[in-house]
Amino acid sequence: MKRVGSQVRSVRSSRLARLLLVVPCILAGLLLFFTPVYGAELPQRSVLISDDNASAIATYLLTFTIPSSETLGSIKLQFCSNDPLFSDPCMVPAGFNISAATLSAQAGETGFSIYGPGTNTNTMILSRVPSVALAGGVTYTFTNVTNPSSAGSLYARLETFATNDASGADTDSGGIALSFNGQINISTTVPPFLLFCGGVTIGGFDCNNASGNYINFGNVSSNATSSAQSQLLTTTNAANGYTITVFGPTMTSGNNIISALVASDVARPGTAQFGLNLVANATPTVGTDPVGPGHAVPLANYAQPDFFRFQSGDAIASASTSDDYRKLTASYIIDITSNQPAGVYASTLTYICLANF
Amino acid sequence: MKIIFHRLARGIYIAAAIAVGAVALVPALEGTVFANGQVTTRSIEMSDSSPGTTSVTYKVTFTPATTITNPDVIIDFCSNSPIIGDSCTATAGTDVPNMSSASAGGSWTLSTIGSNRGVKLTTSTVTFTNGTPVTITLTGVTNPSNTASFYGRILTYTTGTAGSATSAAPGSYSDYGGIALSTAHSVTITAKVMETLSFCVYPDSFSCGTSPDFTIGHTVGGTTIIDSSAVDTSLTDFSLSTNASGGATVRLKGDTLKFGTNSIPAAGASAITFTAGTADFGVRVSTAGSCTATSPYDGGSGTQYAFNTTNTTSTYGDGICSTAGAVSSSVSKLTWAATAANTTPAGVYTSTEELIATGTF
Repeated sequence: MKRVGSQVRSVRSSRLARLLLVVPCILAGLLLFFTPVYGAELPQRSVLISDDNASAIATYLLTFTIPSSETLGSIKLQFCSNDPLFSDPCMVPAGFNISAATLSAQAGETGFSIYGPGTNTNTMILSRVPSVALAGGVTYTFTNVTNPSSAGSLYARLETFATNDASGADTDSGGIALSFNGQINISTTVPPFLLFCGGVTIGGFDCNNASGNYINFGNVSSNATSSAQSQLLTTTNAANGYTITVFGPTMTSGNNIISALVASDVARPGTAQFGLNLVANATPTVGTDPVGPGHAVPLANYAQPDFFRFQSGDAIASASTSDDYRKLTASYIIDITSNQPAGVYASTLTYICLANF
Repeated sequence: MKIIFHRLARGIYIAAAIAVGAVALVPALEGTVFANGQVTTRSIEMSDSSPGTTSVTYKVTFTPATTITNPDVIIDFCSNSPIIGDSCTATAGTDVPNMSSASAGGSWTLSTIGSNRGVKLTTSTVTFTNGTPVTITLTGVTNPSNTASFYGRILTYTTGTAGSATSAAPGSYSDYGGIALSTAHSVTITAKVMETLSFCVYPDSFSCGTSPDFTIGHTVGGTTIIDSSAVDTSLTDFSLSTNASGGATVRLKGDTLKFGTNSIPAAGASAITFTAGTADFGVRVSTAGSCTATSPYDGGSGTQYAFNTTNTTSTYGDGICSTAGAVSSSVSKLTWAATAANTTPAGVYTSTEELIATGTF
C-alpha cells in the first residue's frame, strides 16, 4: 500500500478528518440568489396634460422612446395615486377615469386601438397585431380623460409587451410622475372713466395744462367782428360715448344784451350777434378743427366754418362710443349795431360733458 | 542452558522477523518518498465566484513545510474530494475550473494537467522555504459552470519530479494540502428610486398651500383698479423639484383678462415694453431659479412682457421655462403686468391661468 503520509492515512476513512483537512479556506460567494432579470427602461417618457385642474376633463399626451427594436403588441399605461413602482400595489386615484378616453392620435409606432377588456378606470391598454417596433420616439394622445378629484401628485406605470393584450412579462417599462395644481384666478376692475376739462388754452392732451377761464374781447365795434376762442378736452371709456352741452346767457350788460345767434349765421359787423362754433374759421380767422386720437365731432349747428350759433342748452359735440383724447376749440364772435347801448357786457358759459356708460 | 538457548533463539527469531519485515518493507518503500508535511495556511482566493465566469484570478497561498529550490507545484481541482491520492472526479469548466487559458504570475511556467482541470508549475528561480508563505497567482481561469463546492489539491515536488503526476496519482511529492472552494451566484442589490415631481404655485412671499389667486392693479377709493395712469404688476411664485433626468417644462395655459366681450389685449408672441395708457396684459419669468425662462417670457430686453394667446389657449399651453435635468427646490417668480387705456370699457376683468409642470423621465 502506498504510504501517502501518516496523518492522511489516519484520517482517510474519517469524514471528520476530511473536514479537518479543509483548513483554512475562503468560501467564495455568499448566498445563492435567484437573480431577477429586468427589461430596459423606457427613456424620454412623459405625460403632458392639457389641464391640471382637479376633476377636469383633459387630454393626455403620452410620449416615450422605444430603446431598441422589439416585438410590440401592446402598451399599458396605469395610473396610481401612491407610487410608480411596479412592485407595489396600485392605488386607484380618487376621481380619475381613463376608461372613457379616446385614442385621438398616435405617432411613431401606430396601428393601435384601445384594448377594451384590459382598459378600466385607471388603466389604458393599447393593442395591435404584434410586430417589430423600431427604436425611436412614439406618442399617443388620449382625449376625455377625467383628472383626479384632488390636487397633488399622480403616478403612471408604463409598460410595453410583445403580446397584444399586455399579458406575460413586459418588454420595457418605466414610471412617470405628474402634478396637479389647480389654477390661478386673476381679477381687476376698470372703473368708469371720463376726463373733461376746459380752459382758454390746454397744452397737449393733459388737463393739467389747462389754463385761463376768462376771455376779454376788449372794445367791440360795429365796424368789425370781435372773436376769441377757448378749448375743451375729453376722453372716456363710456361705451356709448358722450355729449357736450353749453349753457349760459348771451352777452349781457344790465338790461341790455347782445342778441344771440339763434340760427346759424355768418359774422355780420353792424348786426348784434353772439355765437360760437367748434371748427376753424376764415371769417373771422379764429378757431381750429378738433384734434386728437379720439373721434368726437361738433354737432351740426356748430360744425360749419364761418357760421356761428348760440342757444343755451344746445349740444355742441358728441362721440358715439368710448373715445380717446379729443380737443375741441370753441370760436366765439361778437358783433354789435352802431346804437348798441354802452356797457360792459359779460356772459358765463358752462360746458357740461355727459358720458353714456 | 536450554532456556537461554530458547531466549536466544526467540531473539534471533525476532531479529529475523524484523529483518524479513524490513526486507519485505523495503520493496514497498523503495519507490515511495515519505511526504514531509502539509502546506499550512493554505487558501485559494477567487476574484469572482460567479459560475462560469471567465478571466478569473485565483490567488493560491500556502506555507510550505519543506524547503525546496526550484520546486514543481501541482494545483489540481476535483469535485469529489480534497484528499491527495483519492480519485479525482472532474470535468474542467463544469464542476471544476478550466485552466486551458490560465497563466501564472511571477517566474512560473504553467502547463495544464488532467484535461485542463489543474496545472503543473515549474520554476528555475523560486525557492520554497519551510515556514515562509508562498503566493502563486493564476489568471485567466474559467470558473466551473456549476454552482457547487469543489476542491483544490496542492502538491509540491523537488525540481523536475512532478512529471505527469496528478493529485489522484501524485507520485513522490514533498508537501501537500487540500482546500475547499465554491462558486456562488452574485448578490444583486437593487434599489428603486421612484419618479418624483413636486410642483407648487403660490403668491410671492407666501408659501406652498396658499391660494395663488390675486387681484392686479392699484387702489383707488378702496377698489383695486387698472387705468391709463400706470402699469400695474403682481408676483406669483412656483417651486419645482423633480428627479426627471430629462428635466421638466412649465407651461402656461389661459387667456387674457376679459369682461364679457371686452378684453385687455394680450401682449403677444414677442416681449414688449408696457406703457401706461396702452392697454396690455402679459407676464414674464422675473426670477428663473433653476427653470430657465423660455422666450418670449424671459423678459425680452429687460423687463418686457409677453402673452402669446395663440399658444396659451392651445391644448397644452405655452412653455414659459424648463430645466435641463433634475432639480431640487427650485423657486421661480412670475411677474404679471396689466394696464388699461382711456377707452378700455369699464368692468371687472378676470382670467384663469394654469401652470402645468411636465417631467421627462
